Amino acid sequence: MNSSLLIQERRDRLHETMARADIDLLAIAGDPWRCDYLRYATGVALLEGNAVAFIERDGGVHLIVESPGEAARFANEQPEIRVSCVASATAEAERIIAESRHRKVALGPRPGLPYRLATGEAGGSVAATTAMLDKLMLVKTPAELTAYRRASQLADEGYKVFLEGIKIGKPEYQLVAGVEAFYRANGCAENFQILGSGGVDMRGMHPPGDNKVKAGDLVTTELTPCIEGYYAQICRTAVVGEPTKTQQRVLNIFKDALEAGIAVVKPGIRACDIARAENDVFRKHGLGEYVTSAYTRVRGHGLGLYTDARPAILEDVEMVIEENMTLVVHPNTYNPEIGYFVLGDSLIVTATGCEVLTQTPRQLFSVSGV
Amino acid sequence: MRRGLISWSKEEVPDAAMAARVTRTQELMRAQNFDAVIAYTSFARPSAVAWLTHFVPYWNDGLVVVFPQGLPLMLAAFSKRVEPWIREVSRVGDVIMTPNLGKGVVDMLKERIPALAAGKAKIGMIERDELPWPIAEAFDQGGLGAALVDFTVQYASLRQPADASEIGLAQRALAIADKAFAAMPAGVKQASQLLTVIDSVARLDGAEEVHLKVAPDLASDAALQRLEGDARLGAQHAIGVSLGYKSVWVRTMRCLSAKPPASWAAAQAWFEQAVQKLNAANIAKGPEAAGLAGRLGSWTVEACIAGAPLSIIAYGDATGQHSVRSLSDGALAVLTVQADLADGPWHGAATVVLGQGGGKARLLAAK
Repeated sequence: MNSSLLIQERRDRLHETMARADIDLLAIAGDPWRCDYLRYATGVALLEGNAVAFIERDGGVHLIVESPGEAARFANEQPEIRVSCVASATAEAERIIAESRHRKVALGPRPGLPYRLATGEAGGSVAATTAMLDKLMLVKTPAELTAYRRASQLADEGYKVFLEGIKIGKPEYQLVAGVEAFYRANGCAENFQILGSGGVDMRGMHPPGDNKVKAGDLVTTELTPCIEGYYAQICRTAVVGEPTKTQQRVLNIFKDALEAGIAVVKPGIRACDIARAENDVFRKHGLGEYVTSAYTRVRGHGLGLYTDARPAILEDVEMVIEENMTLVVHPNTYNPEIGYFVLGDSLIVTATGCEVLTQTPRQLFSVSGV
Repeated sequence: MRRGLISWSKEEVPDAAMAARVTRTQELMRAQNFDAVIAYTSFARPSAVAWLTHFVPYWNDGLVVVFPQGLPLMLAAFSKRVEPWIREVSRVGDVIMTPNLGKGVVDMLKERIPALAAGKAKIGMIERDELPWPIAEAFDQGGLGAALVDFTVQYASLRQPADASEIGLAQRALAIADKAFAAMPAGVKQASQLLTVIDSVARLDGAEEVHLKVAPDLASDAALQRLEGDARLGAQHAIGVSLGYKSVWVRTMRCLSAKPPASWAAAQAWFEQAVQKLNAANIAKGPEAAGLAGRLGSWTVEACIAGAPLSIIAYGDATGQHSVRSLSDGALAVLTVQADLADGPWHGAATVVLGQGGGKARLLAAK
């Protein structure tokens, strides 16, 4: 674990950025869903209630939470942070911002920011603050990349556990429980995982339900373990039984699309270039309809402290790709001959291209299911 | 994120029970002249929408709109392909998929409530002040702001007393936690060896989500930590499990040792007596320390009366007693305590239904 190094690297970058922007006090709000910005600035992983962190230009951090249990935990984890527990983090933050009106206060981020704070005194700073934080969080530091690499390694290892767990008659939620146990045993406390099982009628993935795996099913999963807050993702598809020739042929289209997307990744290109490279492969095969929003959400996305980070890999997203960004490229979509199919790898953008971290072969895995 | 079982068992939560919740809401809306009530959901704040519709998002966010008549309407930021799953696990009427939830709800309300254009509509919003800005911004831009009235207090009143389904789900959650604790191996050295078993058994038994905390060595530190990595277990350690089952959450605690001191059993007996004395009138004072062979270090009372799975009602610690919200008779509440005993720190947790008319609270058992 490199937690203290990570926290220090992020704080140093944040304070340099605050100084450059002449910000005296930075207020960052979060909840257990959107705690990525909060974690970047303070190192804490919020599980309950709302929170607002106030970062002073000199480095001092005051964290306001709503749960006494969370307050005790954060005070224990990071003694250098001042932690307060209040009835409403929003109301307390509003009070502190009002008291600081003679100073330059920056408030953010837009995702997760409560209505009352956004429409209050520092509300005018939200857009600029969010952009400033996004810029910091998109390009990763060496310690951030170390955590991301470890998460990607766990994604590969977790997929092996997932494959071994596929059994005819087993409900989806029990299949995921096996993966979770593996992650817990390996110090990974958080994972985002959706899956699907079925045939040509399978249009997408969902959280674990009580559907039972059947012989002949395609079993898809998007597995996203988290190490020290950083998510990496793998997408693969398995078949219960022997793959058909049609399934193998379709796999090759997805492989070509994934390889085409990865091949264009380098600093200076735009997110839309990656999406176009993937989608062109489907269009070449007469499957252009299936890369639209009716059948698929995104063709990949950023990874980091949030599982679905910017940029969305879509043909209308112009964000420029930079060195040390972390992405998953996944041409996941519905195929009219075999159903929903997923294939995706995590990568790091390098100076000249990219380094693919996912080691699991790009194949349609065959499992007996017994 | 949620990655345990999300499903709707109509044996555990009958359609009629869900309908009764919506009817109760609509009766209050009509009495107070609300044209619509909006509830927000994300996996961090799923509970208001789950109570109204049984829907729990594994990811992403959504809004549910209740009108004075009819089934609740859902707007979700998921892809359209997720709609069949939403219908499978929820009791909703129309489902509108839109990437811009705020604009989507404003447009829909303008269409359905003509009085809105004339500035005469009254729209309730549960936890209005906490609504995320990416949604709320469209409310402001769409002119909804003036019509929007906070509905948090009214919603909390609807949640109390807890209905039979909610109490049944809490008992099932306690049973899952008990089973997970019972499966813990003895004599292990690392915290991950215990947490892995608890997590696995709970998920295999249908937990929607499991949050685990551990105090690896009570002799050095009583604080419960969320582990990323591992920790060596001391001779006395504690584990806290927060477990969700079909959107109802409970907390359980276990202090563990190869040789549990007698003071732990005495503390447990004191705690079970103390929590049964709690009622709506005295809950802000927490459990009485009388009868505890030691010092009551901290305590927290929580209940599900807003968007979060559990909201703080009152707590006590070194800084004093703090009353945050009130509860009514029949509310389902979760209590956690940390006591300092002669043998060191001790943690306890209980789930209770507050008694009617100041009567004894009912300590919920696993079922």
